[in-house]
Amino acid sequence: MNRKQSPSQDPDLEALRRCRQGDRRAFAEIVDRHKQGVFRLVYRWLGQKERAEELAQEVFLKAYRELERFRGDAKFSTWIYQIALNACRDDWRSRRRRPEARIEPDFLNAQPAPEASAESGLIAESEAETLRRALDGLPQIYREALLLRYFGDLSYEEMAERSGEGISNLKMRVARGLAQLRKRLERQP
Amino acid sequence: MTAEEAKRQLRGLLGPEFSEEEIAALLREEPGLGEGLEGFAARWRSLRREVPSLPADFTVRVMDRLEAPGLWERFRARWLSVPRLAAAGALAAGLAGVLYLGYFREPVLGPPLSVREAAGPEGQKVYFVRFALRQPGAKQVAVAGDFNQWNPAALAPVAEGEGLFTVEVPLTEGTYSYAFVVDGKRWVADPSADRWVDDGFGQRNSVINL
Repeated sequence: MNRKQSPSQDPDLEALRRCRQGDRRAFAEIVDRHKQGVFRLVYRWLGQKERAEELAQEVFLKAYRELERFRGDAKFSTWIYQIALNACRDDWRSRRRRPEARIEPDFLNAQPAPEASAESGLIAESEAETLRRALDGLPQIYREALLLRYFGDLSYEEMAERSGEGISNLKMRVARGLAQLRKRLERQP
Repeated sequence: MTAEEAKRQLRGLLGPEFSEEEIAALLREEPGLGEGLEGFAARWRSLRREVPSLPADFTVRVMDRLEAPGLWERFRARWLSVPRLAAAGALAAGLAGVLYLGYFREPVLGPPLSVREAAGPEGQKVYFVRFALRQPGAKQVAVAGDFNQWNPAALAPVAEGEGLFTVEVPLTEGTYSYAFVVDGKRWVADPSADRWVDDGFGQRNSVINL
């Protein structure tokens, strides 16, 4: 259930109001407020810092270009996280189609720990790719709940506040999403 | 696996936010949910890698990109000035004209139809008609009409004639319909003809009166 926010409840709405009046500094405030969360989500999906930074920037640029489409019936943070989730999947899908555009995750370039090897790094990335593929195939409500909770590190309270959904409802989505993810992984080689 | 062990594994995966009642409800809904979770839980946790810190100038860089003109603005500023638009328009019109004349309007104008009159062996008049077509790039050109039962007769290319092909055909007095055949497949009307008639198939035949 979504609910309209008033500017006094949500600092983003006040900044957005100024932004729509042409005050670009107001958008900088919004970026400051959400950059860490957006970057965390994108980085955990991509696993590579430079590309994650670039994609996080693109998320904010897209949000700015589409500000007029934000109706204010959900929190701005919900909206921008949605843009981030879509950007991650779009980026991943386009790279899957173009093998030459694959990015090397950071841990493949890092100094190997004594107990780790390049081979183990490759296995880890192959594992991450398998998980991304399984996540990508989940129904949207489960996928988003899992990504926000575990990639975005949002608490259930924050998820509920942003989406307007009840906490127990969101918990069930996460639990059922994990159960479906596990089944999908068991079916994959 | 005992029920207690299944609960413990599920709680380990889902975290302390889930109450005993919620865990029990999930296991009632799907009894096998808590079994063999260790492997999956480890795989899932491996994705939650530690996040590096963002560079301090991240916001500044976003705002710089926001201020920077986009691709369209740069293109517009650089290329869409009035003189450039006028030049591009003239170029496009010229190109369209060349395309029309060179392809759609074929053929390119050739020399006028020339007719040489002579006396035949029995005193009747014979007209030597020189059919000509300028068709740069064509490999062969032929002429076909009701004077040769529409069997194409080849025209010879004229040396250094810039795609000019000609042939002289002796004809007696009368009115004849004809057309050129370019490279054995394309029928082309003669732009130098006296007049043209519809050939019934959406194209034109040329007409000559002798």
